Amino acid sequence: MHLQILSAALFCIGVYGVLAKRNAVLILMGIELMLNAVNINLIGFAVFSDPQGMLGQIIAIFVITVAAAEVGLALAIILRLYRKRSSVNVDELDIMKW
Amino acid sequence: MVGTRNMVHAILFLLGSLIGVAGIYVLVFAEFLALVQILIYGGGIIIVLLFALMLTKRDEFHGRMENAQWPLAAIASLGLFVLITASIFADPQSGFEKPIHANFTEIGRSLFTKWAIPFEIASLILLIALIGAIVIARSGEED
Amino acid sequence: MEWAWLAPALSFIACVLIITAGRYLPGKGSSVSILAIAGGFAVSSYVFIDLLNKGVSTFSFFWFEIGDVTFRWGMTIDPLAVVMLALVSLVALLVQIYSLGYMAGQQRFGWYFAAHAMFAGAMLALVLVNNWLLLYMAWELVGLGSYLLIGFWYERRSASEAAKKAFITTRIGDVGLLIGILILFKATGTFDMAETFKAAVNGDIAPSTLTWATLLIFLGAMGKSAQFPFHVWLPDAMEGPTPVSALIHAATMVAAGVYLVARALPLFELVPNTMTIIATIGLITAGIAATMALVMTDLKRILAYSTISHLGFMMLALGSGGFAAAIFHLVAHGFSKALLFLGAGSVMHALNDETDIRKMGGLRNRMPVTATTFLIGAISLAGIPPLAGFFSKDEILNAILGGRHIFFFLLTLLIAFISALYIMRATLLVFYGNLLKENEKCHESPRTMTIPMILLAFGTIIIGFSGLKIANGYDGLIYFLTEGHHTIDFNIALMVISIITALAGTATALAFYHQRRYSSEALRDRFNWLHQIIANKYYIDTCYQWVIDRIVLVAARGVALFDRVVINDKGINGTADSVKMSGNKIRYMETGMVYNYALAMVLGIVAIAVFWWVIIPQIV
Repeated sequence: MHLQILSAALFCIGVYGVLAKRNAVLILMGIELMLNAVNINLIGFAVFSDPQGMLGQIIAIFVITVAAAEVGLALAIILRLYRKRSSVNVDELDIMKW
Repeated sequence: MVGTRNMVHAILFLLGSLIGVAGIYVLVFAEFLALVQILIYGGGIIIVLLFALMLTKRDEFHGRMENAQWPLAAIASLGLFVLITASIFADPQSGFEKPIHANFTEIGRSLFTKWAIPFEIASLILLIALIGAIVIARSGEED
Repeated sequence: MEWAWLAPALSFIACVLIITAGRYLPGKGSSVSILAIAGGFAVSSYVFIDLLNKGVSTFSFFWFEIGDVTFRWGMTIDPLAVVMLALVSLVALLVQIYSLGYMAGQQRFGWYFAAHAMFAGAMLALVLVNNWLLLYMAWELVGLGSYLLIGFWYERRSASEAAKKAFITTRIGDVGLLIGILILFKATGTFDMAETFKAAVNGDIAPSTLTWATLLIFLGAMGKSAQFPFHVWLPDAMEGPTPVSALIHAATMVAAGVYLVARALPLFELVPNTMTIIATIGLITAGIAATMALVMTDLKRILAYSTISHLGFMMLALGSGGFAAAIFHLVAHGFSKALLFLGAGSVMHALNDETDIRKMGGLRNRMPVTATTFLIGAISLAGIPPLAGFFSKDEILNAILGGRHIFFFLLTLLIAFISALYIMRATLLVFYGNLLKENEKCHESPRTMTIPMILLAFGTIIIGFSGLKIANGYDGLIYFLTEGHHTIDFNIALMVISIITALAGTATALAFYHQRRYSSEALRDRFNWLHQIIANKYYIDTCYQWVIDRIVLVAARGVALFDRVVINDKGINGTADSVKMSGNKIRYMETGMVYNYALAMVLGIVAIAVFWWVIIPQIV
């Protein structure tokens, strides 16, 4: 249960990072934090509730894999964006507004 | 990490958090995962983030680190935390007293038998992400 | 006899043929129409003979069914129908032949005959059917035909206005007729005439319902037959071609109202109040129209007001219970008035469409045939024996004397005197006296116009005698019409009184207008106030115009305003505008910045979770 609460806390800090930061790289880091929090939750369930203790860990491995892939792609996008506008400030990305 | 002004410091704090998570994995006897965590996150993702920082920084950040909606964001995340915690306490699970030791070989074996297909698909995802990243980052050069 | 429906059908087919292929038909379609109406006359003669042999018969065919109500269509062949058939088809035939000469060289010659054919078909159907619904349909078609024919020269503003006036005024009556028919349907559950009569006689219909139904049906008759106060359309209808006036406003369409009341007389007789109202309105109509005819100077208008007056006589007779008298007068008047109108048309044709009688005079020598036939028609109308008008007027007076208060009788005598006066005035002023210089070049009309007039004059002379028992086995028209209930009455005292009245009127006219013993101008100046009132048609038209301007148009404008402002601007445009405005306000939610959307997502999750787990259990 403590692990669950830790996971919740980390998740919420990650959410704050995603919602409240101006630099796109920082937002990316917030996403990583969130994914880690999810992993902790999964491991917690695996080692404390699962008789075999395996399923959670395997899923956590896959989560890590996907997180890696996603970081690569997100970075490519940020680089492209930077080349276009010479800034990674998300406040300036408002072309699709009213 | 969310508190500093220097971006490099922020990334280093992230690294610290990730290693901390790995430590937790060790404490619950999930060593394999701790290894994986340090390898991939610390060795791969942090490096990538540092590169991103290097390529996109022009000069020191002026002004705040936070954007215009940070009060609302704080409220939102706080609310989310309260929500999740409340749901945790509302239905407490009875688990084991001590964590189970995960069987290393079993994990490996099941990865190649029972969970073989997700394994292959995960590798496919990595391939696609690799190619996609190259495509996106490369074709921006003609702008 | 079951082929009687051919009579209207032929004319309808002719109308359709002329409209579609008129250009290629001989005479631009006139021959087709004349053939059709001649065929109709032949059919009607055949039916007449059949009736004498076989007696009254009714035919009824199944039409369609809605729910429990079965609609049938059919014909009733009885003396009334046969007499009307013969009158309508014969007069229509003669008028159409006359039109060949009168309308020669006009534009839309073919369309004229198509409209004539349609009108004839509708009128023939009207007198044949035994079903209220079909009667109403034929009634409306007759009104349409009249509208088309009156407004034939629609390039003239006055003509189209007159056609509109005719249609709208009769329409008011038509609404009454429709409501009356529907009331009867609601009370008896059938549209069949014979069954409604039976139900009424048996007492199945409540007295108040019957009163309303009869009053409304009479309203319809009032509209079509130009009774007061719906008479205003008939004088203006003189804007149409003169043959049209002869056919429609002398013999047929205006007779439709009289026919309706005659046909429905079993219903009317059960409601004495309605009969009184019919008689009173007939009397009023006859009176005011006669006075107006006396002061008019337009030849066709004199004849128009004369028609209104005589229609009043017919209604008066019907209201007094003199069914046969009214129909007899209908036939006699039909022939005489059609003859007079055709004569007037002939005069107009010769004088280049001049209708003011003050500009005519002494035409007797130049147009002998017209003058003679016109004189015959005038004498008949004045009620001088031995022509048709005398016999029919005598019958009417007889009926009034028997059925109504003496007051009616005395007034009718006075009006008879005025009738003789005005028609003789017209004849004398037009045909006798001195020929004006500008009229010296006029000549008699072509044969296509004179032959029908001669035939009609002939008919006027002999119709009168048809009322009498002149041959073995034929007991007279009255006997025939009432199927043996009455015969013609020879009240010698009455005959003497009516002859004296007619002769007195003629003598007065002679004194004023021919021998110039007295001067009509001096009399007019002395009673100028009276003359003004009558010449302005008792200001009835002014009243109507005021009502329309102040009430109808104002209401119409109000409704139009409501429609434009409330329904269109607020309702329809307003709904669209509100959507536009709300869209304008809401669009600011699209900031374009992703983190705003992400925040919205998270807040949404929190809100939903709180709502779901906390608030809903509290409410439930």
